[in-house]
Amino acid sequence: MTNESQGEFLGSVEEHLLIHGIKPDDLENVRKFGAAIGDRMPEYIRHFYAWLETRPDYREYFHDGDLLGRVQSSQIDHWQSFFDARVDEAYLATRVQLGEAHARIGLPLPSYFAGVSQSFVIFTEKLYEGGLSPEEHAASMISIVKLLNLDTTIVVDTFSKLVAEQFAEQSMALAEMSTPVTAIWDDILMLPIVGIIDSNRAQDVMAAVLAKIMETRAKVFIMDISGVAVVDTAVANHLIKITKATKLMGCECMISGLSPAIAQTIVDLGIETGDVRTTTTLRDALEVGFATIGVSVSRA
Amino acid sequence: MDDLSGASLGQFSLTLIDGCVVATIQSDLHDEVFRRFSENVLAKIEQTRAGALLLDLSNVYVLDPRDFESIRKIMRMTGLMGARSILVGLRPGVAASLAELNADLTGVTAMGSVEQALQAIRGR
Amino acid sequence: MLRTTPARDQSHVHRIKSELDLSVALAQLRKWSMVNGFDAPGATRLVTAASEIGRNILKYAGKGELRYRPVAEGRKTGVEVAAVDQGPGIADIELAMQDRSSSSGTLGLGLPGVKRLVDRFDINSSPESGTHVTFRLWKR
Repeated sequence: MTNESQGEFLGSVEEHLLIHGIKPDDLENVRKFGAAIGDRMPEYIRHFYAWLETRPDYREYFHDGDLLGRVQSSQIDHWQSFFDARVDEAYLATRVQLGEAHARIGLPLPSYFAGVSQSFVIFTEKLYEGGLSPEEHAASMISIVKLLNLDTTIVVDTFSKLVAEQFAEQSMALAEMSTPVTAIWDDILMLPIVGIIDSNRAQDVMAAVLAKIMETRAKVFIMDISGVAVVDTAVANHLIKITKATKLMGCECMISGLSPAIAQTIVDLGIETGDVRTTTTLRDALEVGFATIGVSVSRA
Repeated sequence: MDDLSGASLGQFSLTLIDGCVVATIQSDLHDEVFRRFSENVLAKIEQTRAGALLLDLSNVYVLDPRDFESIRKIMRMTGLMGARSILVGLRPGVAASLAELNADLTGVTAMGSVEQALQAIRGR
Repeated sequence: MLRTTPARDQSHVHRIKSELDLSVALAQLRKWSMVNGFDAPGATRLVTAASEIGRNILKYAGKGELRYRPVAEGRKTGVEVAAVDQGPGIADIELAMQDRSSSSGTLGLGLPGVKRLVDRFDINSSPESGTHVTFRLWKR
């Protein structure tokens, strides 16, 4: 996923520098400023987290020490590469990654921007103690802002792209949730389940199937799960309940589409499937179904 | 068709169709009704030498696990008398709630309607 | 001077607050595992185990994080998945790890099952720090 997203929209290094009007001089200015801060770089973390603790969303996003440690060390890496100012593909890639990370944890963009401007304050007011001439200092301020703009552009671009992708994935998951129970033969109902089965969906399926059984008095119901994303304990229990309910209404439920991998995980998880009839393919289930209702199928 | 009474109580009725006792339950099966019901059912099976008992639950809208346990007991007793028993016409809501509560269905046979059940029995 | 190139942190973190969040995280984990060299049965095993521990977050803590990252040990390479929450913790881990083969079909936390699915399994829990469930699965 990371590689795909980089290729799709991330332009060349030159393009990015051009957009933000960054010239070799600017990069040199950023480096000079970095050199003036020198060894004090690691102090950034202390200042940054002192500020962060005053923010209400702090605990929400940085609650455990293990994660915090990793975040902090990658933050130092991030700013070191910033003041190294070697804008190459690897540099751009780390900014893409930052955008992805923020999108995944759902960090709001305002929090990110607040963090960036606070970092600017820390570097220019807290860690800088002189060393550049007034002209050099003024020039480096402008160059730092330009490079910061390049960084944030990539981060935000990636962020919005990924959020849009997640949104699309969620809508797709929801769209797949329709439950078209179909009578494919006299007395045989079928429902292919695609996507995810959560408790709401399981209830929808149950209600739709039972209503259809009531209406058609079907004797066989085939539920094909070859398109189901995950069969864990909870999902299996939902499926077992559906088979029980249909059985009580006089309709035998078969589950088709069990791959060998799913058969294995079901047994390893210790799920008791009882007397639920299962088959690997829909075809096998259909054959059993035809036998149950007393229809014999032969090739013409 | 032959009305075998019990219907006077308004809580259940027993009918003989094609050599099967069809017991239609009209209301909740609380303890006292259940005892009378099972006594009546078993007596009819003995009198008529019926080969099967069809428990028609199509008028039952609420069935808690205890009621279901009672029904299973009648089914076991029927089995001991050499007749098979079939649940008939469970409503979707009842089926769903029993499934949600993980009712044990080992050995339970259910059919959609009395006609289907009779057909299945004739088919044997 | 500052010479380090930033090491690419390859962990993926998903915040889990709803069943839908979990589904999206699992879909991305599946994609990731296929891109990273897991075969189809391996991916199923991985996603199923992740789903079990992710669901426990929702069930017992309401919200938390599902994380995964590539790991290597000697010649073996694979993935490490962690479910982390700030919930009340598990009072009796030993009890939670016992196989309760119940006929009712409910398996408690489902953790013994997860342990059978994966190559290495680890659990830490306390009322103060919540619950961390971690497992590793190697590529075949």
